[in-house]
Amino acid sequence: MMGDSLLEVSNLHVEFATEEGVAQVLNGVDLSIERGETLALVGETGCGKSVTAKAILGLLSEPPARIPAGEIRYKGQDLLELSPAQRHQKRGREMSMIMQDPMTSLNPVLTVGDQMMDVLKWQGKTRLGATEWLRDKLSSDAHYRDQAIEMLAEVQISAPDRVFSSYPVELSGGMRQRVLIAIAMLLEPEFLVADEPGTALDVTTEDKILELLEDLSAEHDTSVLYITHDLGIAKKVSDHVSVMYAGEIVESAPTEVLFSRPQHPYTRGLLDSIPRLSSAIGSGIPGELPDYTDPPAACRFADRCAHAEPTCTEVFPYPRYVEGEHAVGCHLYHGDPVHARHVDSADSAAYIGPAPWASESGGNPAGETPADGPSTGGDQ
Amino acid sequence: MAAEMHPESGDLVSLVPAADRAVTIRNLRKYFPVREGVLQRKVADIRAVDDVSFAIPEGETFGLVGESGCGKTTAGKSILRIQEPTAGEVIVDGTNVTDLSRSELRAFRRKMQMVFQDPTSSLNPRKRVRSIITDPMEIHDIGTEESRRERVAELLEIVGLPQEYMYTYPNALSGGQKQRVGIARAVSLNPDFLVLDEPTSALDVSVQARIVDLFEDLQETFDLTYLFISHDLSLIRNVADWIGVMYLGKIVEIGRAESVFREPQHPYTQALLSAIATLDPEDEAIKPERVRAEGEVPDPRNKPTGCDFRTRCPKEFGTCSSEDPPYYRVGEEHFATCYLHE
Repeated sequence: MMGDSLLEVSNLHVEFATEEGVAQVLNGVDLSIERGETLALVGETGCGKSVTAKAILGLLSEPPARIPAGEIRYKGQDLLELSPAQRHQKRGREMSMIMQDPMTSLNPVLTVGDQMMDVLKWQGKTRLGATEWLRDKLSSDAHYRDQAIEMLAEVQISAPDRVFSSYPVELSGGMRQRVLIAIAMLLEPEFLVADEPGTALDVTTEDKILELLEDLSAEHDTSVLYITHDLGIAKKVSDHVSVMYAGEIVESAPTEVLFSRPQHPYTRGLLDSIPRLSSAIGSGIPGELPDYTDPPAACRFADRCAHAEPTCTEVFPYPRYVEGEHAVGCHLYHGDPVHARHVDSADSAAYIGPAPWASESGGNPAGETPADGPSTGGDQ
Repeated sequence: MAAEMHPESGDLVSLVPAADRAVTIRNLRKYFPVREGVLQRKVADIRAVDDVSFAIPEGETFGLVGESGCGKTTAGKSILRIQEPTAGEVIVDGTNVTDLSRSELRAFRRKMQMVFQDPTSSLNPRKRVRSIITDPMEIHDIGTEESRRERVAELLEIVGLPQEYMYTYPNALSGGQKQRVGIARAVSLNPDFLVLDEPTSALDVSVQARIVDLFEDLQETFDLTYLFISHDLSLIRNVADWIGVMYLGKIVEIGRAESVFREPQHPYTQALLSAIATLDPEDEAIKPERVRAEGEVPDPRNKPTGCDFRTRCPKEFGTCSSEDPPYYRVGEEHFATCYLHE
């Protein structure tokens, strides 16, 4: 909690007004990112990971979105209390974002150079006075240009001068993603959101982009919130992982711990579904995401979970510490509530464990089929 | 192993004994003309599919894998003549598909169907699930109104969708459910051969695993032959009996899936495999030592001389630029087109 957190999201709620009613998309999300650390936020389509990122950066359109509760503390200051102009000041300069799709995130009618110079010149300026405009017209761009080209070289673009004066269509996908990274890093932000930056690329290119991003963030001591649906990539890039399901963080742990001892049935189902080289693909997770306008009262995963008991639909599975920093939101486990707000409602009678896989202490379940594991415990 | 040379890609079909072949593709080519100038004169060809040959035994799966732009989707479409191939021969169930006239082809399409990548854009949003699935039967004039309705109910059950979805529109379904409808449509005419073009790449992994399961069930029940096109090597490892790795329109490595994954012989295959983000040590141990593909895929209008991969290959040497490398036997049922195996 205290430590050296750069960003501290607590109990964040986000809802959207829809024709079918109010969609309660984020239901008390907690995240903490320390300086220089990379946190992977992992989840499948529609789980709310991009909404979380947008809420942090202040990019949600309100309405239809609304933040009824929660705090987003950045260097101790609650961003939700700032005015839009103040948040605008922070974006780009202190916090930045790399978008998912390199094809649509660049302006097709401006050269790469123009887009980079715009960032350098106008970032944080909400209104442009006549004098400023005039000064811009009269002054030389040379040092901005140098700065931009230097950044392009830093993202390992081999002909930065040529790319600087190219239009996005003239560049390949991998090249465009490098340009986007260069733009995001231009002002040396302390905090960077990377929203699936490799997804639209081929594996060999993605691999190189991930490495580049890792090098850059290490070099500039940038904290990264890495959003991805791919556990393999989360494992590669992150120090910590938070697994999200239906707008809640269901499991959170240091990366190594999470992958060697995954505990939440959803995390295990997800791991089991991933095609591997060494073993057969699992059976997936049955069912569909719940309807956000009418979400389940307690555990949002209960109706898809092979280990659910009646109590799972009655008592909220608050996140609890199962081991060190490893937190799991599931009644299969005992443990102290992670958040003070759950202390009063914590109900040990809801315990339905131990988990069927608990006896495999420390074993790597990745190669097995946890979803269909021995039904010694929770199965009905 | 003493390398025996295979001068011609067409010989690759011999990996499968003639009697077992359900699908045979020989020297398939698809060229797209590049036109320039006021007169739109043809100045060059983009060789999207450039002399591709392979055979699939009945009831088995051939995995065609490669990165975007390598020509794998164009190959799939040319095989079904959704796009007319420029040259080559496709034989499905003993019928030479490339020789069929338009009307013959239309009738023969019953035997071979495709499942598309994007389940959202491949279903007509204005039609209900029921008519999406019955359309092929109506086109081929199969059954009565009533028998078709029964067939839809049966198909929905086969693909694991509840009966009440018959009357819903695609937009009310999730991605995985839409893909199930696409699969029901593809198998509605009892085909023998299915081309699956990245059928799960738009889906989440937990859904993908279930769809892959469904494909396996269908294959077993109906003895289907699959051409499974994907960019995901780990997925292909799980579904395919045979594998062909494509690069710039050519198959650079082909063979039994086991053999190709255990002992990849082409530097490109090695680069692809070594770039996979793995989850556990067992997977890591299987991966070949790190091979980096340098730079980017060259412009297909302007392919390098000799080996197509040599500009990115860390193991390039003198011979590579001379001429196209032939296929070398690198295992019992395994070929690679790379001079390292000369």
